[in-house]
Amino acid sequence: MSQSSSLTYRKISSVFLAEFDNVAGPRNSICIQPYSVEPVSIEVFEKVYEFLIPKRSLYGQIVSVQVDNFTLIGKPTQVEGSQYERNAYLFNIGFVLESSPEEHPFLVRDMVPVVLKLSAELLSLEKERGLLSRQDWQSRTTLRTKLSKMVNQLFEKGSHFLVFDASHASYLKVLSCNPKYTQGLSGLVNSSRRLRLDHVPVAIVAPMLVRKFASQIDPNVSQISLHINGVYCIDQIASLTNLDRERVFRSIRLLLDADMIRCIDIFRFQNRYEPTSKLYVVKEDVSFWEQCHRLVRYNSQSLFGKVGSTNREGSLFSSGTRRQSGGHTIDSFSQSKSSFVSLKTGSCNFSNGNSSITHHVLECYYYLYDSLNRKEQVEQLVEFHWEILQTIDIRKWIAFGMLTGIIRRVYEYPICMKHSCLSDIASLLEREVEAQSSSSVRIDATLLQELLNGRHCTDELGCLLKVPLNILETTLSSYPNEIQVWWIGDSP
Amino acid sequence: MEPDRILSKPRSRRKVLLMGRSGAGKTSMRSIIFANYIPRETRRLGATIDIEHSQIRFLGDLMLSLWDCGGQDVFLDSYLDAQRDNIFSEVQVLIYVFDIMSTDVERDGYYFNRVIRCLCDASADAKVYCLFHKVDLVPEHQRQTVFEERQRRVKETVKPFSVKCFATSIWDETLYKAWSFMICGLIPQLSKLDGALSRFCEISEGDEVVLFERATFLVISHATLHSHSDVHRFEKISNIVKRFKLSCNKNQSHFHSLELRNSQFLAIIENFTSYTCVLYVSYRSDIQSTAVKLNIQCAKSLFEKILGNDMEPSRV
Amino acid sequence: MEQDGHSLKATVSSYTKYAKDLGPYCVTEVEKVKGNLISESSLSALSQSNRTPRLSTGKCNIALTGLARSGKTSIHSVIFHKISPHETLFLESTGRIVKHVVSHSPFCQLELWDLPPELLQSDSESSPSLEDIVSICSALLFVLDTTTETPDETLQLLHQTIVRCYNANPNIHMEVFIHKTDVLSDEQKLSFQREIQEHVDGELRDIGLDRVVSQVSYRLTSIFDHSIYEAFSQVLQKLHPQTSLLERLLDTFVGYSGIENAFLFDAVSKLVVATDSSPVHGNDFELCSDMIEVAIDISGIYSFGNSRNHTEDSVESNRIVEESSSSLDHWNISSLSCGYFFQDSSCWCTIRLGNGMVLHMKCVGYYLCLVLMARGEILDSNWGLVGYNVRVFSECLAKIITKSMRCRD
Repeated sequence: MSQSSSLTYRKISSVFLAEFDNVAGPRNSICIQPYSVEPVSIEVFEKVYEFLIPKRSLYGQIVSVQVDNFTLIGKPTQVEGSQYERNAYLFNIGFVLESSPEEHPFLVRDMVPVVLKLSAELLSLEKERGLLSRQDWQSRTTLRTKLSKMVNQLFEKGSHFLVFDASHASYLKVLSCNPKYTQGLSGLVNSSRRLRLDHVPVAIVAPMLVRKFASQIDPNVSQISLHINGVYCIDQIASLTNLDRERVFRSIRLLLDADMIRCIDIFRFQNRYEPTSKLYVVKEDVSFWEQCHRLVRYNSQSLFGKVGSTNREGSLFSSGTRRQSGGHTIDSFSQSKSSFVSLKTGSCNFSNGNSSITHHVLECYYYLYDSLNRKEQVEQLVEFHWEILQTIDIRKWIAFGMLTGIIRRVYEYPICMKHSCLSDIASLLEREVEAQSSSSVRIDATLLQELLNGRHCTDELGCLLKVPLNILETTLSSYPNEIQVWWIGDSP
Repeated sequence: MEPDRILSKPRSRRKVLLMGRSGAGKTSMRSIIFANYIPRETRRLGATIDIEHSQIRFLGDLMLSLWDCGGQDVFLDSYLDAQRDNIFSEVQVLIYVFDIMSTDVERDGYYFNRVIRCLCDASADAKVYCLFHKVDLVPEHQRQTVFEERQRRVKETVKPFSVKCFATSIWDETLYKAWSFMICGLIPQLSKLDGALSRFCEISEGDEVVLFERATFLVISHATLHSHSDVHRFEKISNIVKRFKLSCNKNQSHFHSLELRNSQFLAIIENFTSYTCVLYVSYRSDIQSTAVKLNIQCAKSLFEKILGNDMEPSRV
Repeated sequence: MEQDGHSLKATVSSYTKYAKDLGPYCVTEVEKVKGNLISESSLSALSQSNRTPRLSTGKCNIALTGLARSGKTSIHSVIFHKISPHETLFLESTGRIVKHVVSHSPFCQLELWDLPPELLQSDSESSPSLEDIVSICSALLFVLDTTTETPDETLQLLHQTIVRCYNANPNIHMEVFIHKTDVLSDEQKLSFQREIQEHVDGELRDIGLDRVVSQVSYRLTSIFDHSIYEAFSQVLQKLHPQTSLLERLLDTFVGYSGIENAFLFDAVSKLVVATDSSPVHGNDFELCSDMIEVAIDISGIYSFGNSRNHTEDSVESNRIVEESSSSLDHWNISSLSCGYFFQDSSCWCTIRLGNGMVLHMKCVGYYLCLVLMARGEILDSNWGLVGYNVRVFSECLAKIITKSMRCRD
């Protein structure tokens, strides 16, 4: 994305104040640009006059318009009162930014806090002193001076402390939360270019915020944001929303770039993980493990049963028959509670409990992560450590490990050595699927040949072929001579 | 009336433009006539931003599409320029409202002139009405002269159109008078209605029968056998009954009928056809109100037919 | 062209004006008392009549006070002069003591003393003083403007005035009209009233005037809705000695006729003189008084102005009016129609509402109207009975009135 190179506040072209004049109509009464910026042409404002002072339903909302490589963002505000000629004073304070159409949502996101604060400040000044509606020379000059200083500071530094008087002061800061490329975190997809169908988007801010942001971009993104719950992978989201995959990718990329979500690998009990070097770095960090403890403790509301309890065979390992791709039945996993993992907000979802956490318990987490290795599936590990894992939500445990980068996913990349067996494999897969899930898939041998070339991991193959992962794995492993499997500990 | 008639889509849709410069009182009068505001409440209305569209069903089958156009200069310029085709095409009626107290007469005239030119190009057969509003602010003895002066200027401007002017105020019945006249002009079966009403009046031995539209209480037609000195009585009654209806609404009820008698006359106001009310007045002291009500019931079907027929020529 | 002329004429007789012209609304006798002009003898007459004010003048005296621009003049202009509320904005301040005499129905005989705010100042040296006037009044009406910018001062003045009035006339009824409440929400209104009441009660208790507390009543009013009529009606009912008698009469009437509510209105001011004791809900008062207005307005249009009537009956009708107006000679009947409306005992009006209720109004003479509310189905099967009962009721009423008039004489 281009804006990663330049900061939002450097794009500010002017601050404007539009007012509704009872005789003239909507009118842009103040428009101040930073010293080093060309004034915005009046035509830009003329084109969007109906958004500067819009119809009543839009008051109190953030309104942004993209026109001629400019983004206008403002908050039309209505002050009601019998002291005004027509019972109300309408104004809109906002900014004009230089932007390409793609950048629009990001600029809006970055500017919203500033616009909100500024308009709240002016609203209260208007209510208390009539600063805006008086329109005499003195109050206009005050306003112009303050706004001019503000727009210059914002343009230079991205922040400004706007002071009108003791009770009207606020710190304005243009956010420039461009996507942070957090290196060293394996399995975490932040770069939009490396997205795959089997990636699971996880919100890293409150889901409300994600939805709010998404609703400002377009209906597709908004629709998709409803399904981001840390359970559905991209392919499932695509089939749930009936959108084509390209669009889903585009929307997920937008959200990734906005730093609203991360994508992690689809979690399954057949998956394999191994610790990274970061695990040894955080080994002694008590606060890290405390956070881990807070976040991954078993939440009894979860659907997939208590690990180690009597029904563990039934509920936990029946997940082996789950569908990998969407469009079929929704698996038991998906029905479970959202596994929202909050990195930024700490323990907002998981209560901190009042039991004191012993050092021993915290150490346990370390040893558990340490015991992960590429040879064993999580399934086997759970069986082995079930006593310790009783109190832990495995899914959250793995997700926490992935998001903090102390473990990474190990992928299987099957390569077909003998093309002659492909049709056998295809028909075997078809039969297996039919036997296990009483639905049928058509698998084309030539497609299989293209896919089994070592460039696609099993997760991806599952999505593309619409075959459940466990069937795929067992089928492929029954051809040990013809199919060779590469194990790679990171995304390609 | 058959239920399907009520549900069926109205055939005739009339586009009515309500224009004039800001603060002339367009939204106020619209709110009083069609939205049951009382005059005092219009003080609380805000300015109209751009255009507010409203669909008003009148007499059941007549659909008024009322475009209340905000009168700020920026908006007016945009109507006359960018939105021109959209606004001025297929207009049946233009109601242009002047503030009679306006100090900027030049500019009022300028915009009016331009609006008329646009209308001339796009819908040449539209009817034009001018309302000189807020006449209550002019001292009484000057009203006639001020009005005539303004009317003369307007008539000069609109040469190709014939224009009808009214002096109005929201505080009295003049507003009802003007709107009754303007809306009646849109009713196709008016002459038939007039004829039927005077026949009814004669047969039922009444002295005066007046037909009102039920929702707005605007006068549609009347039949008078004995002349009456008060020419504005119908509008006064509209105003009186409408105020009472509002009072009923406050009580979670609605007005149904009225019967008033003293030694001079008998007056009955009753719901008539689905979309009208009737006022029946007789000066005879021996007339029985029950007989009058029976007559009104009997006449119903005929009027229902007249009001229904012309709108839908296919069903006779 | 002729049509245009007509539409303009209509504006000349604007509706409110029209109503004013018709009614005997204008107060007949306005005695302006200014400064020292009030004679010593009249003052001594006032002080003599102190003990039995009502009998001597036949009228209730009410003193209207309050700060400048609080709405004193507006209140009586709206109720008794039928000035439309929006026109009261243009009323001038009252700079001197003005006495308005209201002589409507026998139950609405008032003398309103509109007092300028200066009189309330404790250092005011004008004559007659507040005390002089209050001593002959049976009620004090303090108008308190909720939109005032100096609430503390207003409350202080209210408290002072109450104390002074009590000292001058311990039997006086004190009414506080918390005025201009149309801008407030229902919650605000109640909290306003509570606040004022607590403040005044507290101050009165502090100086040991506990028994005055019960003598002060508070009412929320506004000239823009019906509340001012309701409040004033209540004051009127409190002051009039025959209210309870009328109430019992109405109760009997309602009980025997199978109707829900009955109101006796003073037709000119549309104040309620008496109601039966069954509960009245919501806006029924307002609806009834609006109904009277509708009846007056429509009969104003059709009783006159038509050629047919004038040729046949006008002579006779004039005669009736003249006769009746001579019996109540203080009536300055400026217009035939309204006076006619109130005198014509054959006048009745029925309005049916969508919810099945029927309002029935009947003039019972003496500028009084009886308004009944009843369920349609009950009334329709009992018209004969109700009509008979109404007649009996009006006969009783006439007896009460003539008796009390004789007493007065």
